[in-house]
Amino acid sequence: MNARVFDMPALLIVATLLPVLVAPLFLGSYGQRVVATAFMYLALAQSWNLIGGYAGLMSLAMPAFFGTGAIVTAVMVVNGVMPVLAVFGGVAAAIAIAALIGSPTLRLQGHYFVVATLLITEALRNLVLNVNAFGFSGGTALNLFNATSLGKLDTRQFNLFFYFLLLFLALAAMATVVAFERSRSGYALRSIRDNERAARALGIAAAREKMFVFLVSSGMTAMVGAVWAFWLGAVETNEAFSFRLTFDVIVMVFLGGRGTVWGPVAGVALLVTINETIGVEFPELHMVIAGVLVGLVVLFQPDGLASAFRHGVSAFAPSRLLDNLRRHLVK
Amino acid sequence: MTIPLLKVQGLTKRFGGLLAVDNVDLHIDRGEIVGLIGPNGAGKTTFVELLTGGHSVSGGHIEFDALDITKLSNHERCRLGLSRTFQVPQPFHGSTVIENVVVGALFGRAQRNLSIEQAKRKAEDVLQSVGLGNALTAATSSLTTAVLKRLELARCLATDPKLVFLDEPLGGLNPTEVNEAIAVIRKVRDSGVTIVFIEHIVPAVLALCDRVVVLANGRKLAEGRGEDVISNPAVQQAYLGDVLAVAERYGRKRSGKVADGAASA
Amino acid sequence: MTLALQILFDALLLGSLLAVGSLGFSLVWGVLNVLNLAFAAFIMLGGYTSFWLWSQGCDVLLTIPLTMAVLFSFGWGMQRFVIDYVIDGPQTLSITLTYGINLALAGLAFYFFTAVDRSVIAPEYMSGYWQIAGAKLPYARVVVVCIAIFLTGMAWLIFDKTELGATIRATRLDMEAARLVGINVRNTFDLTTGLSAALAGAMGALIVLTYGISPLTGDHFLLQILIVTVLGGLGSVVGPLVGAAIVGVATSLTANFFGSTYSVLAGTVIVLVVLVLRPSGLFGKRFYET
Repeated sequence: MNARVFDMPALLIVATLLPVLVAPLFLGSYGQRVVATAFMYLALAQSWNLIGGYAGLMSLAMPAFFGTGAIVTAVMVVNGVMPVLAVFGGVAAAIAIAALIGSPTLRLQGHYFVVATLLITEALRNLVLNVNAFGFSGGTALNLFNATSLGKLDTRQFNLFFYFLLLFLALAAMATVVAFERSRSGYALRSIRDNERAARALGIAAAREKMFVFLVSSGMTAMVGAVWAFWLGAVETNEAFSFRLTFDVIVMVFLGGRGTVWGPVAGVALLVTINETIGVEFPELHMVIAGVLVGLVVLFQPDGLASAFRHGVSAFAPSRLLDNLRRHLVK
Repeated sequence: MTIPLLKVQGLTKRFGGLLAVDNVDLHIDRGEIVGLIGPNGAGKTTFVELLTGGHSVSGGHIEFDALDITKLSNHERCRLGLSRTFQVPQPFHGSTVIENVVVGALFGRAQRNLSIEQAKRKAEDVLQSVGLGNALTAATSSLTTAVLKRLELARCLATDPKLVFLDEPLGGLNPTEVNEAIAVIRKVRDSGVTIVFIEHIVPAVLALCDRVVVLANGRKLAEGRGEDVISNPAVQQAYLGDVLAVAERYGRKRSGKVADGAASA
Repeated sequence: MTLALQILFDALLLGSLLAVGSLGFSLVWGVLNVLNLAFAAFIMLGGYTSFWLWSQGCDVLLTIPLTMAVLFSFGWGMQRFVIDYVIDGPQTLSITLTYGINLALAGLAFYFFTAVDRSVIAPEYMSGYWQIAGAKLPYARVVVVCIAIFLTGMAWLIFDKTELGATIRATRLDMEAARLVGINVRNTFDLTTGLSAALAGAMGALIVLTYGISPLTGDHFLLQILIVTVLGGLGSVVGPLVGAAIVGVATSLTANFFGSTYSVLAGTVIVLVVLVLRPSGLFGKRFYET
């Protein structure tokens, strides 16, 4: 009973997982889809956590990899490739793109990096919109539904299948982050994030380490994109490459606590809850709430909700919050 | 005849129109402690940056342990055993003292050969040897300059270097701390590490160094035993030159004679 | 000849608008070293302010200075009471904060104005068009170009010739030195963002007159502004102008010959290539990072 996984007693892990595994019995199909969406967000959040949290690189390239995973997989499936192979194809394509753009992009300092990732996403989206090959024309949607045996499942089976598949992806993403945090790469990235100059002087190959985490993150994102394509049944370029998911994911990671294992979990849980309560009545307010929340986090508790795990509730004491506010005030 | 550990030939660095380092030759033998001195702006830190890989070279080459390292990056040089500390300590502020040193142990010359557990133990040993054994879990934000410099040194030593460059290790320390630091530096050399350090505190340089090199205006001005170098008139001129010239000019204006008072200052 | 003139005019129109916008945007980036993603919201709010004023009966051209005044206050306030609190911290904090502000403001715009495109109808004295060699250049758009060029000139005058401009430039060059000379850095920052927002507001007002506005218009133009700013580099007035010219021409050319989706691609590819070759832009002054 003393086995520690994820730094928590195994008992606690089981206690958390059990309800999640059993929940579908009690949730209707709508409820199942909401929770499944939360799992998808968690998988994406952990992927971004690697590059945006642990490496400290504000990458806006997530839609590029998500979209690549979705579109390439869809194109392959529509052309008769087996679904599992197609998913690997999508992931491989995304990693190839990351390898191509990674080296020059990661070299850019500060804001130029952020802008470059944004522009790459836009360029890729426009490129794909203009493609006309393999039975795929950029502007129109691809229908995957009938191309696989998924089309033969009834609604209940379909929902359950994706519930557990996305749960699996989320857990795999969490496991990857945990493994990462404890590995040499984790040490290297933390050092690079805190003081790149010192890190290099100590023998850390900064460029290589950044590239590695960039590739891993892009591959994970693409896999989620590929699964999303099957889930949705029809894939359209603009939606696959849209920033809609990215907006939420970045907020979730910051809110929960970037660079931690449990932070994104808290962030996803909070934002999905808000969305399902207030967001249903006032959909536009969802953007407002997300924006305000992330602003508050940045100003008052940049370490996010995860700071409560480490320092207890005092992390959110008013005096502490005011301290944080004043800490970075320009003189 | 033994090959020097570090051999520098014709090292030159230009920043646009500014010639920061001008055709410098230098060799460092194993086990030496060499002092690098010179007036401000002489190019000492740039020189060290060139040797450790922080800047690219405009001309000349560098050989370390018979290997041409002129084009290698700083992390590659560190893995070969060439390390440095910074003038202003650069700790990893998000980590504790021991975690800082673990990074050095994990990625230095022994990299890939140490597991994280082994690196932690090595870090502890190194911290003990520099006198920080009781501060392992301290947060860096609570440390004084003297302790931060000690930490910087420990982290550098954890990379298992053959040669270290210390950039003003005694700057900002009070006299007691300076003496403690000198003792630590001696201990480091005795453990087999060759040391080159930039410093302004002349007594420390004289006490510690086997050999002293003087840089001024990017050029090597003098080299030799500490006492000889210090009493070299060209070296004195380089340090005090402007002061002497001004004193001379004003002395002449006021009293009509050359100010020999300034010369004896 | 007709087509060439048309392309040229379209390039001039887009280019001059982008020049105004990117001057404002690069101000905050260059002086505060903040990537102000909320600039998109400033543009958008400028558009809606102008639209609202016009719908209340205000003359179209008059809405522009009024909008600029409103946005100046808004930007100044945003800087003073929100963004100032993260300037001294790591860059990711300021980017995330402005991103959050942008998200919130866009959400509010959706809520109050809905996603429907709004545009302003040009008044009588600006209707009609100019015929040159078969090309039709609407008067309204010509006026927009003139105003944009005028604003650009004003901005240049302020930065190059006034004490305020000197103060801002000094702060950009060396914050510590500026402090030592007695410059109140915080006030300078607040003012800079105010001016930046004013330019964004002007751009928004001109956009409403030309293309129409919706809550996502700001984001669309911010993308192009980013391209222009990166192309032209920070730290000069000339840089954004050259960048705007290049983007204007490239966009117009490709839009006319290949279709509009290719036009964004053209701009993006150009800037990415430039970034690889010159990481600080065409005219950018290098900032040595420690």
